[in-house]
Amino acid sequence: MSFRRLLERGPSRRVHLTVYAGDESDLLEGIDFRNATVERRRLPPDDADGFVVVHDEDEFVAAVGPAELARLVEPAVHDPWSAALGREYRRLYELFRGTVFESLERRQLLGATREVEHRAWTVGNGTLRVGFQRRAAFDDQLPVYARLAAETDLAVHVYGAWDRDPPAVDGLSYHRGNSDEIGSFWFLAFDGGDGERAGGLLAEERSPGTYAGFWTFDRTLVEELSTAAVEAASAAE
Amino acid sequence: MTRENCRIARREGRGEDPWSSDFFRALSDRYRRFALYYLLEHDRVSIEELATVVAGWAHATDGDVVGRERRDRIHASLLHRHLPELEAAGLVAVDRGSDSVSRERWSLPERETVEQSLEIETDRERP
Repeated sequence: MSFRRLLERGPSRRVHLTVYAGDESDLLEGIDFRNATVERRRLPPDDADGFVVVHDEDEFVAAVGPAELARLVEPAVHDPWSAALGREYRRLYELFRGTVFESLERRQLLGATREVEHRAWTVGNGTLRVGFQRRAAFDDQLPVYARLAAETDLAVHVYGAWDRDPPAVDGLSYHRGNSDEIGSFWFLAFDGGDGERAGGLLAEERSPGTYAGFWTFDRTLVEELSTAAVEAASAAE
Repeated sequence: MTRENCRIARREGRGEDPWSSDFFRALSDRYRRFALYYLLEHDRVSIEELATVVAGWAHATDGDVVGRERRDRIHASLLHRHLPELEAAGLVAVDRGSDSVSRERWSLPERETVEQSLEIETDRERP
């Protein structure tokens, strides 16, 4: 399945969010979800900050407050090897995995990207595929991927629609593709290595700085992302 | 005797005292207070939803993520301890057949006290 189709179809998770807050609260407002239903229930008093309850279909998953949600909206972006990417960071991305956001900002996606890369770094082996829409975006991140390649046993494959390959770096393989798929999407796929901690992300820039996309820790979906990358690249060669 | 008549009888036994110590005992626990605050707005809820609300309100608002285990523990304590106390104070009625709880008719002093407590408690917790 192509990236285009994978993004259209979206992950299979069906999330239900209930916002318990006062009438004056704007919790979760302005966040555009595609495959999540959002319901609001009044909590007194009018200015109650409230919290959000996450259900997977009918199953309670978690209740999360505004401070935590703010970290999703404005993540502190760390390097993949940073100790700051601990349990709390991961927990938040676990909560909203498989949810398609219609208008994410670049920084918000970068937060999710770091979570996937952190898994790759921690496991230290397996295959990490990463695709960029813009060459400049990769040039920015080159030091990160260079270090991942140098200091782990990860096989790192980089995909882009650029004219010339970026500078050769030990452990990084470059794949140039056509611009329908490769170069039109921002994606990651980490197969989990022998740690079984797969992670992936797929996003498309819809307007400057605004993306539609999702992140996932579902192994099957990550494999689909990986396959889409490999197939698109081989079609171009 | 209906629950309402029991309460009125207890009050009259004490000579028109608007308060019962059952009421203040009911208010003395944080989870019970949050349950009452929610019932101010929603006069009948499932016990499961009430547990979710109490868990979120008591813990998620101060920066924690409340997971399934903690929510289930709160559900159990509501069911076995807190709701029976609220029922004994005549503040709620538990329908065990439908696993739901509804607000009983509160006297004006009771309602005002719960509302006042809500304002104070939710205000104090603001950073």
